Amino acid sequence: MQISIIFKALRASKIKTALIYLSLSVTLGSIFLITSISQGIISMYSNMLQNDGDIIVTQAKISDTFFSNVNISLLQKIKKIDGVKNISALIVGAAPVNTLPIVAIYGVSHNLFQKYQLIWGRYPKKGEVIVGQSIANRLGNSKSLTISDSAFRVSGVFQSSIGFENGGIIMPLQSAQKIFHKSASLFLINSNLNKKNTTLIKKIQAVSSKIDVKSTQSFLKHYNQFNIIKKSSFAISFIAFLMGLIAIGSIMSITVIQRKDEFGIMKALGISSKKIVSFVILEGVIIGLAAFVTAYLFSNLILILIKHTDTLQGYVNGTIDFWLVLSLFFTTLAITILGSLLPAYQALKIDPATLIQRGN
Amino acid sequence: MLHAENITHIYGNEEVLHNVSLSLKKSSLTAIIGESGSGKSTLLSILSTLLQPTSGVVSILETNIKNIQNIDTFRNNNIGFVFQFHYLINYLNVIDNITLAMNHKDNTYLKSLLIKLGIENIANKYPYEISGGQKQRVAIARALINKPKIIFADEPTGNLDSKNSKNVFDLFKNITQTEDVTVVVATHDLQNAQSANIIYEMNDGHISNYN
Ligand SMILES: Nc1ncnc2c1ncn2[C@@H]1O[C@H](COP(=O)(O)OP(=O)(O)O)[C@@H](O)[C@H]1O
Ligand SMILES: [Mg+2]
Repeated sequence: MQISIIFKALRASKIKTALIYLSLSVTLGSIFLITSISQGIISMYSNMLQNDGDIIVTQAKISDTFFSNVNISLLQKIKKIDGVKNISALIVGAAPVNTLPIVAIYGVSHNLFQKYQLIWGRYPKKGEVIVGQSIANRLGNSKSLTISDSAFRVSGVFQSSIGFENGGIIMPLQSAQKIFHKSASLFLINSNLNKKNTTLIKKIQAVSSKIDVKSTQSFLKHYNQFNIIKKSSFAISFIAFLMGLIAIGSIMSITVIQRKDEFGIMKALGISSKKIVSFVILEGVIIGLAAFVTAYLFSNLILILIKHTDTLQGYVNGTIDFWLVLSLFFTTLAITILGSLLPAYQALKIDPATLIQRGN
Repeated sequence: MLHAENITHIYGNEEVLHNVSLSLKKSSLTAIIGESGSGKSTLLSILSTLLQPTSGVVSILETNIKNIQNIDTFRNNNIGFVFQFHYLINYLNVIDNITLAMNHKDNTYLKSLLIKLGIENIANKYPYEISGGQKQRVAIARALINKPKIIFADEPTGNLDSKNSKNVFDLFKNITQTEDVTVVVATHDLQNAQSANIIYEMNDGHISNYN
């Protein structure tokens, strides 16, 4: 029995093949998309914070950059600590801008300005902002903006590879303090010490009990918002996995019952159980691999479309990396093999003696 | 080459075979006749290893079939089947159907079989493209492809007209000599059964020699 027979069997039951192919494509496509988009959001935000400092200071017990509120007066104290090379304050917020309901706003201390690459103009002074390239386009490149009821002048447009920045607005810290009613969301610190900065972290922590000091890396690792994103993306993927499993299992077991005679004759002719089981499983795996390729191409297409959807302001972004492809490949094998096990077992259980006509 | 001793078979609580014993001679054509429901098919299933008897011993090629380690391989190597409903796989052409369980690569033998059975010019056709008589000849080729020692045929002519039925029996008679194979046919086609070397009659689960 050769592999070509499996392809003939698949072609013979076109509807079954198409149904399994479609449901697996949807399953794998949703896992591709949900995982790459949530990974994209996490890595964009991580990169943004990591680029600005290896130590992060947030409000004690508030492990969220949006809700954190740190007293700016602590900045001068921390700056004096040995090992602190550079410290900047940041307010992270979101506000309506002109007609757009929500735009990311960053209030930053002056020493952070130079990291934004200007396409034109200059860094903002009081009452001014610089605008990320993609949001500038969305706003029709207008020179004056209303951000949460206050008027601002656009002093320049910058470019960033990070979607949250390229789709955001940068203003001096003082302006953001007024809009968001806090002195700072967080401090980002560049230390002289490249690797082990635990002692430095302890020293900074000693400055006040109202702050939490962590390495940016460990902060991001335990960042609650990320965990929520990761967990929900995993839950959705897992549900998609189960749906795929149920789809392939039920469609295949129905067809195995319809193909009773076919498996019965195979058994009567002495084709081994191992071959019959692999026959059924390989049918599933072959459809699964076709669905895997389809889902990969389709998801990439959707991600490109998302990238070019202006209304998303560049905040949603995802790329399918090698590891995702690899793990989805094994997921495909798992779904198809697990999903075909029950149908394969049913095929095995068919009694070839039923082919002999009874009562004649 | 096949011995069955005191075969009894019970379905549920109905005993359908009572102490059936018989022996088959090498390279002979044996017919088992009898009315519908007399137990022919049950007996054939048991003799061909597809069904375990409630009691009794079946030995094929001097081996008690209970002691055969791998029954699938044993069937594949030694036993061929022809059923009333040919059970050809519809999505496979004639060649693929015949070679479905082929355990060797002797294509000259395959070719000679096609010619012998007069199906060489339909080799690439599909089961739904050929006649009933042709289908049964394809099924016989499938039964012969692994050069089995014994072929079991259950009502092989049940769906054929008299001309095709005669052809099938002639073919069975012929292959017992040319292929050196033992053939057992369960049938209620008394007329064609006459061409068999040995005829048994089943009557309500009892077996006896006919005539
Ligand atoms: N799987 C089965 N379960 C219960 N009874 C069966 C089964 N197969 C056959 N029988 C009964 O066994 C008897 C013999 O049937 P069978 O061997 O098919 O006879 P034949 O082939 O001579 O017509 C009949 O009474 C039939 O109803
Ligand atoms: Mg019968």
